[in-house]
Amino acid sequence: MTQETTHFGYKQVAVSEKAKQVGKVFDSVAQSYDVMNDLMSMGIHRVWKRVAIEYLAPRTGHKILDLAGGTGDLSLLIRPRIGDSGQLVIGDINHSMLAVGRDRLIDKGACDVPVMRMDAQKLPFADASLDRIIIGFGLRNVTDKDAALREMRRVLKPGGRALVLEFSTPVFEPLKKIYDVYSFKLLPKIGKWVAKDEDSYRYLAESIRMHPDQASLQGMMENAGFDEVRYTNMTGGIVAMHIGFVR
Amino acid sequence: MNPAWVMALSAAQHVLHQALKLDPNAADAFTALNGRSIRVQLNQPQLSITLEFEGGQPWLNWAQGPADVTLSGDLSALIQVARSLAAGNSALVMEGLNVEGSVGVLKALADAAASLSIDLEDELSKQLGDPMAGALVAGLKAVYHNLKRQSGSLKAQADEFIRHEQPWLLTRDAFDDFTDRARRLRHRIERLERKL
Repeated sequence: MTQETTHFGYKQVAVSEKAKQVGKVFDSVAQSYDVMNDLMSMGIHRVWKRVAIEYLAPRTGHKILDLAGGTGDLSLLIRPRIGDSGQLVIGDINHSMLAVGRDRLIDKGACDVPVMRMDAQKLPFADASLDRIIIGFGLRNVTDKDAALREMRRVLKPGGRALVLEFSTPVFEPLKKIYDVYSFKLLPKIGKWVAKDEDSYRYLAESIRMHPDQASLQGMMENAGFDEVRYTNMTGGIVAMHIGFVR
Repeated sequence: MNPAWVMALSAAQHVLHQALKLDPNAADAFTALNGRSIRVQLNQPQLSITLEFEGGQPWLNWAQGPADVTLSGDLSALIQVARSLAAGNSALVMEGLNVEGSVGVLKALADAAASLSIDLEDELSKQLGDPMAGALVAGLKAVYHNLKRQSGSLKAQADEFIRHEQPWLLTRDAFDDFTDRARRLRHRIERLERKL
């Protein structure tokens, strides 16, 4: 009997194994995740996230899901924008990341944000029940991305939008080469020195390369049922924001 | 849309909300517009913004959803109309702008805007105390009136200058006629050169 496989970085693993393997990576990096983000992106990830929130346009009273919300940095930016009548939920499949996120939110005074363990491929929400969904640097780790996008479309209300913030393909050729050297030579070393985990950071670099490019992801979102999909590149396409609208 | 525009729009929205907070009745004023949207499409510069109303507040949106009414035209025409509305003129007279959709929504917006009473002095008094706020507002008013007077005077001087210089200014017809004659002359020279 042949077993269906998927990629885990550059390796092929059984579909049923990917979630476990990704889980191990994030269990390993959870405690140092935010420090490593700052180090790896030289702080630029904060700008990417702030810009993403403006594109998401959260408003007073909105019901918002921060999917793969992990350590809660996007949620901390969203929470003040939705007022007391709004509802924000952080969802992540990884318990270790959620634990860090929950502690961080409590430390910052955001005690009314439920932290829920959930699978992006089977969201525990009714149809058309949310105004906004954001998934920041999480989609590439999902085993079945099409299923996750379909679920995001399903739970969004008419007028809602989903924002996928994810590493993508640099559009400027010289930048691509520098980025490759940085990702495969330097990034695992930084991971080894700071987080004492070279393999996890090598997986992160590989998973970025295996993630669909801008146009492919746009097509996937359109196939998932979004009525209109647009994307914006940031930092020369190292990161792209895809926004899917529900009419 | 360009991230810089989106960030600028967000900043404008923040300023708008802060300004509306100065009127405690602002939310009531905009309640009638809840669920409505007005799109402004500028030709020069090319820009499209939608003003949406939710929860008694206006929200600036860069995305292109359906809108109840669309205003399209140049920025200068839009500024002119905004000034006209601020001066209490009818919301139904919009020279230089094309209006598509429900004019009633524009009328409701003009009514809501007219009912706003933003008391900057009151807010400054809370922050700085009465004497300081009074002096600051008086200073700002003096600067505003001075600028208004000067701009009026500048406009009058420019009108006077143009009226005075008009006989000597080249009109579009005269310029077209001149270029036409120059072109005909060049053609005759070319023909003559070939004959020679």
